Amino acid sequence: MEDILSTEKTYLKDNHEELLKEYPDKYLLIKGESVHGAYQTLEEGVTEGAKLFGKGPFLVRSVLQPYDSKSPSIPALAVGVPLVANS
Amino acid sequence: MPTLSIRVQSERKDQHGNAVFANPSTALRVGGPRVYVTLSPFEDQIKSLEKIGEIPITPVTGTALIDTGASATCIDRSAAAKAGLAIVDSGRISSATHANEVVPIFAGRLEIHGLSPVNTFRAYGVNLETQKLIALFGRDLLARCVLVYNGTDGSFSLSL
Repeated sequence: MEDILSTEKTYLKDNHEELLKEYPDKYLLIKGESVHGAYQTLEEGVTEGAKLFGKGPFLVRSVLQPYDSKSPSIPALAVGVPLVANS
Repeated sequence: MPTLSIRVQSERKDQHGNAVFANPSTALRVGGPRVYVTLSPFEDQIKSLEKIGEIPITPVTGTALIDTGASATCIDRSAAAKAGLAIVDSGRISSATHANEVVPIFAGRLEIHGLSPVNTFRAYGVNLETQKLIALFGRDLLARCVLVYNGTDGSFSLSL
């Protein structure tokens, strides 16, 4: 599946240094190649994002995290084991 | 810190159609620690969505499995969409059918019935429908909780 937020993530990554100086410790609301707001909390960013862009997608991410988080480890999904065991 | 205590009960039909109750210890081993949850957007987000005509928002209630083996929380993608949760990020995840697949990350409000609501949570959107679950609680959420698992008694408690 294609990453529906690749434009926003690339923008954040490519402009990280300037954004970090301009919005230290903030959550950024990014849509396309623009920052639409900087907030103290994820919730504030999502609320404003919903106001502007409905259910999204839009990127709300801490300016301290320009790259994707490490993939989570979820063995039950990765191995495909049923989550209910009968034996 | 409010605590939810559950002693697991399970019922099945025998060959004559009579109800048979499973031993709680067996029921907990088979089904795992499960709680009822409701997914919904943030309150201010609902107001914002209503203003732009994105209604109705339908909170989705279902079962979540507590999975101490998972490092992150996942929610069923179709349940998240039905509940009107916003896609606020994306990430990679490996499942049995797709390695390193890009999936949406949703944000919203989570209520574990019997406990205080978690006002802000982020979760990877995956397919849990076939497991009859709407969420898989990982260690990111458990980092805010105390979980006590009593296998011999067939009970567990979750404090949040």
